[in-house]
Amino acid sequence: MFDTHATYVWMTYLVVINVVIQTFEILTLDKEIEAVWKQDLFRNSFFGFIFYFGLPPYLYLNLVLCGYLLFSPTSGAAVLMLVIQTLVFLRFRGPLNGGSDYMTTLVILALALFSLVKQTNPVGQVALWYVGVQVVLSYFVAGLAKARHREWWTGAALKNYLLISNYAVATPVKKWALGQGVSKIVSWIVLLFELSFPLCILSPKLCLVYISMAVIFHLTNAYVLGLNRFLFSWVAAYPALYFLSLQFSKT
Amino acid sequence: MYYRTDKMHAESEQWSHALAKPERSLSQLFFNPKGTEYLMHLSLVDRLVHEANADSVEGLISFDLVKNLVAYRIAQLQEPAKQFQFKVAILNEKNAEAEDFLESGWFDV
Repeated sequence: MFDTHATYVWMTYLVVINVVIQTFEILTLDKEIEAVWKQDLFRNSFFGFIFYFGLPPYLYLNLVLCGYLLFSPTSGAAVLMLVIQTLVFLRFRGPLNGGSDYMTTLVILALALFSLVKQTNPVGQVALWYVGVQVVLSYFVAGLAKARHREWWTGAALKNYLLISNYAVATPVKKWALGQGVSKIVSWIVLLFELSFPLCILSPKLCLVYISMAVIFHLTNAYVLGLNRFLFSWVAAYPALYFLSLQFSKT
Repeated sequence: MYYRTDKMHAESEQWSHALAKPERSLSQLFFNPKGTEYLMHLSLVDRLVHEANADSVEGLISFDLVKNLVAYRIAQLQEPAKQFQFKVAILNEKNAEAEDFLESGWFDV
């Protein structure tokens, strides 16, 4: 039975994987981060005191919380994790990697909320619906934005994007992108996938199909564009999407 | 984003790329700190471009962060310089050409 509690348990396990990967990435980059996001940006402020020892102590605490959540999912540790996530935002004066950080925070926010209310409280369900709708919109709005440009339907936009964008595109893909026909086919697949994504809430089986396609989509983005942080940020939110489809199909 | 140092400027008018695109392999599909660092730096430059409509660009935190980023890059050079300047260019997707958006003053490393 995939009820509210089970959904949150799955989200907890998946967000733990995500947070562990993201935390180790930041810890690996500590020297580079300190060189750019220097402590003196916080001079004479309350945040200077909070970050007196830098970010690593909070990140290590985050790893401890991840371990705790594995044994006690849906516990109040999620609230502390949300606090640390907020501190990371403050330290970097905003998100590190845009959308992936927002989605991670959204999932942690839902977990924190659920840990604070009784399991029968409808707030837990509403939070899941909200996360699910956000996932749907993340694909659908991206699809709409692309669909407005004729270049996306001809394949020219994707080709240009892969060849001249700022992203470090994998070399084999650059060679492959030179073919206009291939980029047109891939563009259509991406457009149809993103624009039809709201259909996934119509049935749980269809939802699983879309989730599978979405995982392939993010794996491809991770390899082609290096957007690896998006993969688990979105995967952690998929239980909420599945829950939404279950609820929708019942009504 | 591009930079030039006092030494480079003395020799020519050439600018160098400030952000090096990292090489990537399948092993970095899940854990890719260098790729994440690159994307973090791109986000910084994007933020500066987004906020740069303000009257004084040099008063922006995003400007200070980008300046720190360029200074860090220059400090890693084999022949460190004393001063540097950076500029941000935006890609025109229609003609695939970079157009200068912002050029900083000279700063000490």
